Order: sequence, then C-alpha cells, then structure tokens
Amino acid sequence: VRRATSRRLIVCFGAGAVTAVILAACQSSATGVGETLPGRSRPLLANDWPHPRDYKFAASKFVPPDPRSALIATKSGLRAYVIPTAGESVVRITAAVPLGRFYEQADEAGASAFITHALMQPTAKRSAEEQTARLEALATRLELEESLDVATVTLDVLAEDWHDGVALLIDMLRRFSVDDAAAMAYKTGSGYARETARVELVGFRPTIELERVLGNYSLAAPKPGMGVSAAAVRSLSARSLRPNRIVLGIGGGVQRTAVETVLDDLTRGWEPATEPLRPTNLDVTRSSAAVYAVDDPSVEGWIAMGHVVGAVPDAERAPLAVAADILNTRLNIAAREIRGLANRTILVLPDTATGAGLLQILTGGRFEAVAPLVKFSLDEVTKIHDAAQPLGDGELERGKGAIVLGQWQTALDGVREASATYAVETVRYGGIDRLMKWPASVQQVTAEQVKAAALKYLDPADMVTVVVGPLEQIRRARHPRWPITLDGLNPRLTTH
Amino acid sequence: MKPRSVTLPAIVLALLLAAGGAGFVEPRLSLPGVAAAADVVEIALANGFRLLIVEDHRVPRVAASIWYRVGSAAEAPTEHGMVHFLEHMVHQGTTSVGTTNFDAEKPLLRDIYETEQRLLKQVAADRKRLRERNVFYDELAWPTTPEIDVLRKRLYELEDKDSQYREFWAEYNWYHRYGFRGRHTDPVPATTSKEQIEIDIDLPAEAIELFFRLEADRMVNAVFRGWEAQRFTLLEQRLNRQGRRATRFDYEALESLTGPAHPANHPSGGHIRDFVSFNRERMLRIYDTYFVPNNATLALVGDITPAQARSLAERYFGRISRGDEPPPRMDLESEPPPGGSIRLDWVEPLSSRVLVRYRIPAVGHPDRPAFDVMALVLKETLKKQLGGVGGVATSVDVSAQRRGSPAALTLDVSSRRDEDLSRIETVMLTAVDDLRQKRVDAAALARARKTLRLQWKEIRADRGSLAFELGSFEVMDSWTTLAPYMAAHERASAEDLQRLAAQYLVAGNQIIGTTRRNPQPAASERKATRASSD
Repeated sequence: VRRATSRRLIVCFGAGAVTAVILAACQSSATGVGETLPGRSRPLLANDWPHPRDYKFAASKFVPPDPRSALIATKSGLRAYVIPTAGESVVRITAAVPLGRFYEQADEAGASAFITHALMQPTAKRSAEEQTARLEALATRLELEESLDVATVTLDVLAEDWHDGVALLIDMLRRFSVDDAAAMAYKTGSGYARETARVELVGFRPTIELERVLGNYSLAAPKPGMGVSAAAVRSLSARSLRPNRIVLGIGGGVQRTAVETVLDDLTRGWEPATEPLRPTNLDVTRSSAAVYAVDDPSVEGWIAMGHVVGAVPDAERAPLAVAADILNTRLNIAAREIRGLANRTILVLPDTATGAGLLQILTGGRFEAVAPLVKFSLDEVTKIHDAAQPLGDGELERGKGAIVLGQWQTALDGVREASATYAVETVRYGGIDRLMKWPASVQQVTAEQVKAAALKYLDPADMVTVVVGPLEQIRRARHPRWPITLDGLNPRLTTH
Repeated sequence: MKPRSVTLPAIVLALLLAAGGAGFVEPRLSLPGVAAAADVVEIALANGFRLLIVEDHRVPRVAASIWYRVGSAAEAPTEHGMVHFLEHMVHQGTTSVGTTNFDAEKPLLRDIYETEQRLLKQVAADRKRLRERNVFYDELAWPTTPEIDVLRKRLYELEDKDSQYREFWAEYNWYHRYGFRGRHTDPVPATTSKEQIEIDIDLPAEAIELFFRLEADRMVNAVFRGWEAQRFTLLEQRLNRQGRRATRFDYEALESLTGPAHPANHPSGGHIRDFVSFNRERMLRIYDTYFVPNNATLALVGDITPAQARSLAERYFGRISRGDEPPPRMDLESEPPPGGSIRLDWVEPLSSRVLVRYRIPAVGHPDRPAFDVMALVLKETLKKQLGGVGGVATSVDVSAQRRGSPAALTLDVSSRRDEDLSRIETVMLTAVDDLRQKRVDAAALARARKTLRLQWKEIRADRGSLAFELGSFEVMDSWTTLAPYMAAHERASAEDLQRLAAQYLVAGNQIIGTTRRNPQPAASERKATRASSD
C-alpha cells in the first residue's frame, strides 16, 4: 500500500502541467492503484472513466435517405424507391410482394408457399435453366424472405449489371405461370426444418406445432401432405404478382432517370391486379395456458410459448414494442445469464400491418433444462404482467434506445438497406408514414403505457407452450439446481 | 507471474504522449476502391495497441471491431473450448460496470477463488478415482466424488450470493441503450475462432466513446462473474451447434483428421468432456496473457476521424500497460501430410453426404487467394453435374476456409439417398482430377472472378464487413494484405488453378468423409446413457 501511495504522489507532481492521463491517477476510483483480483497476474487499472450512465451523448444526427424524392411509379402502376449513390459499385434490388398466408383464402392454403418456391426454382426445366444462367452471368444469387404478409426477393449486383438485375427480377415476377402438372404434384411440407440447430425465426418446429395446437389460428402453417390447386395459385398470384401490388427498392450505383426508363420498358403492358388482395380477418379466441409435448428424438429440447393477438391499435404498438424489448432482455438474463439453461431466447411480435398474429417466445436447451426453461420464462411473463411490479432502472430508456437508435437506424442505414425497407413498408402499410413517425412514437412511450401493454398482451394465463424433443429423455432428466420436471408441468402429448 | 506495476519511465512516456503524441505511427495507406474517404490510417499507441481507421462519413455511425489474437489454437489438452469460454466471461462486467457494489463483491470473489482452489486440489487428489479408463462413455456424465460435489455446491451458492450485487448484461444493455447494432445473432456480440476473439459493435457516431470506455475496461478490469452458469450456456451452444450430436462428432472427426497434431484443427467450441476441467485459474492466465494492448487491434470504419479515434484511444486504451509478448502457440507450421488418403466412414445414422477435403495454405501465403477462385469453379462444376432439376444432390458446396493455418478446401455434397453416394464421390474426385488435367472452363473461371469481385465490393460498401475483414487479416497476417489478396483473385488464371490442383489436391493430402442415413451397424456400439450434465 505504501508503495502505491508514493507512486501516486509522484504522478500527481509530474502532472501538475497538463495531462488528463496523470490527473486520472489522482482521482478516486473503485479500484485501488496496483490492486489485483485473486488469480490475476495483472493489476487492475485504476481510472477516472465515467460510468456509462453518466455520459451525455449528443443526439444522433442520423437522417434516413429521403423516401419521397426516391419514389417513382411506372405507367403500369409499379412503384419503386430508387436511391442512387455516386461512386457506389454495388446495387441492391429488392422486390416486395404482398404474398403470404395472410392473403390466402380458405381454398388457397399453401398457395403462397408454392408461389415463392416456384419463383425461386421454376418448375419448368427451360425456365429454371434460363434463370440459373442469368444469375450466373450476374455472379449473384436470389435471397428470399417470407413473412405472413410480405415476401421479398433480393439480389445484389455490380453497378454495371443493375439493368440485367432489375430485368431478371421483373421477368421472374411477370412471367410467373402455373405449371398444372407441378401444382398437381406439389404437396405441402412439414413446415419446419428437420435439423434445428438453434432457436430460429424460420423453420423452428415448436412454432409450427404451436400454430397447429392453437386450434382456430387461421394463419397456421397448412397441414403437411396437402395439395394445392392450380386454380388457387392462379387466383392468389393474380392478386399479388401484379405491378400495382409490387414495390421495388433499388439502392446503390444507379441513375434515377435511367432506372425510370428501364422500369417503364420492362413493365409496359403488364396488367395490373383488379381483384382486391383480401387479407385475412383474424378471428381471435383467447387461449388458456397449457403445455403440449411433441416427441422428436432427433433434436434436443426446443420450446415455443405464445398466443394469438388480434389487431393492435396504433397507439399501443410502440408501448408493446418497448414492453417486448424489456421482456426479451429479462428472459435472456433469467435463462442464460443467471442459470445457464439456454443460449438464446427470442420474443417475437407479429410483424403484420395490423399487428395481428402469433406472439411467441422461442427458446430451448438440453434435456434437463427444458422444464426449468418453461417455468422461469413464464415467471418473467408473470412479473412484467404484474401491475404491482414496476420497470427496473433504465429499462424504459434501454428499450427505446434499442428500438430507435438500433433497430430503426439499422433498417435505414445506407441506400441499400433503406430502399429495401421502404419497399417492404409500403407493401405492408401502404406507405412509409408509420415508419418515419416510429422514432417519435417510441420516444413518447411512458412506463405506464408499457405496463398497460404488458397487462393486455403479455398475460401468462394466455400462454400456450409447446415442447419438442425426445420426451422420454426430457422426462427422465433432472437439473441438479432446478429439478423441475416436464411431468410437473402437466403436458399434453400431441401426435403432430 | 509477479504483478506488474506502473514505473517512472512509463509515466514519463505517458507525459510525452499526452503532450505531443510522440510514439504514434500513422501511415496512411490506400485501400483501392473503398468508397468515399478511401484510406486506411494505422495508428500504433506506445503500448502496442493498434488502430485501423477508415473514414466514411455518409452515415453518422461507426463500426468498431476489436480483435485479440488468441483462439482455440492456443489451447492445451483438457482445455479445448476455454478461449470461447473466456469470450463469454469477459462479458460479465468489470470492476465498475455490471456491479452495484464492487467493494461488497470482493470478499465473495476471493471466497469463490479459494473454493475453486480447494476443488482443484481435490480433483488432483481424486485423480485416480475420477479416471474412467474407458473407450465408450457418456461425455456429459462427468465423473465426480462426494468431496468434489460439496465444493461445487459451495461454488454455486457463492455465485448465487454474488448475484445480489450484479447488474446482468450491463455492457450489452448500455450498448443497446445507445443504438447497438451487431453482426451476430447470439446475445454476446463476439466470436471466437482458431486464431482470434473479436468483438464488434456498430453505434451512432455521437456515442462511439462508449465503445472505447467499455472495451478498454474489458481489456484490463474484467470480472468473471457467474462462471458456473456460463459453463452451461457454453455447453448449450456446443451441443446445439450442429443440432444433432452425431453431426457434431462427425464434423469434429473430420477436423481432427485434417491435422491430428495441429492446434488449428481443435474444435473452436471445445471438447464436451473438457468442460468439466475448465477452471478460473487457467482462464485468468489466458486473459492476462492475451488481453493486453500489444495483442489487440481495433478496426473502425465510419463517421470518425483518425484524430478523434486517436484521442479516444489515448484516453482509454492508452492507459493500459503493455503486456509481455504472447507466446507463439498459434504460430506453428503445418505438420507433414500423412502420405496417404484418409477415409472416414461414419457409422451413426446421419444424412447422406460426402465430404472431400484438402489442406491448403493459409492467408498470407502467395498461393492462397487462387483457392477462393478454385472453390467457386469446382462448386459450379459439381452443381452442374449433380444438382439442379433431376440431379442427385440436394446441396452442393465448396468452400476454402480462410481462418486458421493450415486452412482447408472442402467439397461438400448431400443427397437424398445413400445409394447415390458412391457416384457422387466419383464425380467429386473426377472434378478435382479434371482441374489437374488442365481442363478449366474459361467461362466458369470468369464467373468465379466476378463473384469474388462482387463479394469484395459488398464488403467495402458495408462498414461492419470492412472493419471485420481488416481486423481478420491483421490477425492472420497483416491488414495491408487484404486489398492485394482480393486483387489477386482477378489474376488467378487457369494455369494457376491447374498448378495448385496438381500440388495440393493430391491423394496424400486428401481426407474423404461419408455419412449415411442407414450405415452398416457399427462394430461396437458407442451408446451410453445420457445422465445429468453436472
């Protein structure tokens, strides 16, 4: 101790001149100079760094690319957000299409999946070969993203290839035709990936099983082995794959006027849709908490828990988003950080125009972790739902910052991301007003609004749980620290 | 090692640095084709901490990626997976962040440390009782004794006690509060590989100081809280990475056959049995050895100037003492090839799949860039012959791995039926043979070059990707070789591919792995009842 003190005096004397480096050593710190922790061979660094809570950063100067000046429309009714950047050598081209289970009528179940499948891999050999050759010439590949109400197909190309890239995408959508034989041969799949390796948003078996046990959930994945009629595919594609329904995003090294001319040429004579899209009117019946178990020896122990929510009023969407961010953080701390039960837990809000769909928590772990995971996750839902339990210090601001400075800026970060985001937003919401007002909506959220949203949408009494895994082994397993059993949760076996 | 402390010469040096920036090296080197302000500025602090800065002021955000040159290749037997574990443990707060009362924690931390010391002594004393001497065993049923159980239980209790002072996920939450964007899907924004731990964050430019504050603190003042819980989080990642346990074993077996004695082929996630051997003592030694400024590189791309970056680096990282140079554990040359083709026929049921692998030179070797071109040419060839409508393959991939030395070129084809595997293997080996026999499709070669050109332009157009690649190349070789490496793709000729195929894609450097849906029954069943993992 004596040596450390004399060293500090020397430093202070020398620092009389100028430097912050030396001043720092004079200031008090939670850590003493030269102090070490058990097992450490290096001393801790005494410092004067402020705690993160004490920083006062200036407001972000982030301004997304102007969507209004970017929007163009062709004579055929196709809209595109074209955001050029001088000197950029890559171009991202995104086609957003109103396509998904949200737009399937009762006799069209599975048609949207058939259409996206056939767009990516044309069923006619000649078309498939032509598409492959065109992609090879562009040295790129198509990326497909599907949701309940929007499908996007994206490709990145070199700036000199933008014209061919746009032409490829438009041709894919415009020339889509139903091969009757292929439609006859098509059968809906399981809806999930066979080899789940982690908690995923796409192909996660517990999600599909949860959709199916929720009885009357009209947006559930169709049962496996169902056929799709060519008539259903034609009907849905006639409503969705039309120029007045598709919105493009084009961002990068292009010239706006040149894109306008090319798009006019490529869409000339393309018939617009005349039939309305006919979105599903989701019938919501309140569910009751229950645990279902699906035996699958090929995986570890995967879990989905959730319930169907109906249309969320606009005024409640931002508070619900903040509540979801807070709960998501708490779930991960409870399962991963405190107990080491799961690597990752995700809370997913329905991403549809009305906010209707399946609200769910996805997680999973090794056999002995499954039952504790269900219990501790539901405990966190109970806590945030409990009106008597206030939000913790900083949780509200953390949630707002994560949504506005993180997620929102990320979605609009640069011309490639922004052009794609504008296209999707326009297909889903009919325009970008909601998107541009989102930061203000989130910033205005109060703690009371968050608790009100939690009370309404995050009720543990509504949560239906599905466990998928080798049930015999999960049943036998006991966690040494939290010996909760699957049977103790009274699971119902399902045969899906 | 004796604790090091600040010395008078160091203070004098600090004064000099603060006064005039003496001791900094700032070469401004061009990275051809980077949009906007294109140059990479390299700054080295006196303590060896290195910054690479690319200004790009189009969006007011900064991608920051810090690289420590330590990975699974630095691990010793019984500690495979320890560096990945360390990556998690440095995200559990510091002496000032993630705690509500560090002074109150100190006695608990000491108690935890001393309890573990007793546990290690007990393990040593019980070593003969713990040894299984078996061939087939359940890797999750960790051998123990009643005495060890008591000490483990005590550790759990102490960590639970410490939890009352913890602010969980503190750094992560502060990053989110101020606009975090990460490249990772896992909650910890970091990865561990053969040669590196990297942590990357993208923040609004106004808040980038937070990165310097938290990462400098992490480099020197990390506190390993919640160690036992993280052990199981890690185990969870490890078990589920390939979903099914047999798939993981298959992959690990292939890796180990790629170079049985070379640390580059240790699974970076670790061996499951080693998880029981991990201990704080050893991890702290790795932390103190490698988490030093002279073993770290920070790549910054975005709305920040070199002057701003230097000032922040001085304030935060500049205060940390230089460490001893880390040992060259990862700098081993490749072991000699075995001199014969190696075959792995997996006997547990998996998907129908053939993998053909060759060891290839690592980044930094002049032959290496052309293997990226070769991989794409081979992929196109195999896709045409095996994929598409009516093809027998359900997926075709050829990849030239860039991390680690030696690296590997892997041809990977899956099928619906076991019956097709023999034909698939023949087609794969014929495609390789064709490369050696000077039959390279010029059009395919041109398309491969174009694909790589597009990939490189995409990297340059994306802050996070550029920061990642700069850091990655600096760890593997030097960031200055990144652009020449990418440019070399354009020059890779058919003759180059033929020459490299003749030199490297040979039987004595070849490993073939096969998995089947319905394999022949194994000579010996490697079944073991899965019990508790604790």
